[in-house]
Amino acid sequence: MCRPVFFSNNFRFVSGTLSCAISFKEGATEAEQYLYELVYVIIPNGIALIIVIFSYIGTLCRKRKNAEWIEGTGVSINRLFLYPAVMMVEFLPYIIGKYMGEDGQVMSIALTINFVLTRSIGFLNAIVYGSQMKAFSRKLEKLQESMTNFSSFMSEDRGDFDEQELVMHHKLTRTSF
Amino acid sequence: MVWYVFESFGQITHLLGCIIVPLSFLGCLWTCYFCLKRRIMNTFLKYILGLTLANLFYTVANIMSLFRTGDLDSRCKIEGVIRESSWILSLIFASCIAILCYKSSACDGSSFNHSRFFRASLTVGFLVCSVLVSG
Repeated sequence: MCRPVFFSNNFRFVSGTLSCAISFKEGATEAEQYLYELVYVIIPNGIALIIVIFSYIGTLCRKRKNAEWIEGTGVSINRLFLYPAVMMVEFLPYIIGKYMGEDGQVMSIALTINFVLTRSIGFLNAIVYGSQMKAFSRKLEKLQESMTNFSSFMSEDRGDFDEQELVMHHKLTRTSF
Repeated sequence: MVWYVFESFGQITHLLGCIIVPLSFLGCLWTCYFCLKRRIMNTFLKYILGLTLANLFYTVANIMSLFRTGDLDSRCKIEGVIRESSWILSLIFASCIAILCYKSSACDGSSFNHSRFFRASLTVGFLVCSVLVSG
């Protein structure tokens, strides 16, 4: 039985230079090559790109409306969005090189950038995570400061509770990422 | 993804790979360590850990491509499977982080079941990987 090309499990060592990846068979027709490109490159990366762009636009729109509520959750959405952004930025030179770079030199440069970015994927994520940790420790310091202020505030036995201070304390204690 | 035009850049890319890939591997290990060190693990952190693990496997495939000794055919199949599945998992986890950010920005975000979403995305991720990589 003739199986579709993308189920043919045709791994090969590309030109003996860079890496092993699923690729179409030697002597594959143009339609088969296009099918491979569609199933393994365009669909997965395209869907991810669309999801990330729409989510980012949606989040930006919501952020304007619910800015105070988001701040209260303690979730740093801007920083979290860096993870998908890193993934998508890695893929962009590939699109430029493959589909827009008619000039051989442009294509080579774009694909070299893509190569460097995809190889440094773990390093880039570590940088993003490190920046998040720094922000988190800053928030933690604020929280500790707020806790100290709050406990001294409570020990003063004041009858007139400042509601704003309580809200601020509540926000800081919910701080997570 | 397959790079065809790099044949002329073989030496340069190999040299670049030798510098970048170990750094990337260390970065993945560092992120994994600090993720696992945390006592409370929310859904965001689970996704970050998942993404880092997928990246770690991708880096392992990159390390494998730096050394070309032994039985090339079987080694190539292993590398190909690791590379494709980890790349697709990375894409899925990155998309899920984006969706979760969007859901978390809504005032009624509490109605969104994070753990269920995490389980569903894991199932979908492994299904997609096994379909694309199986043969």
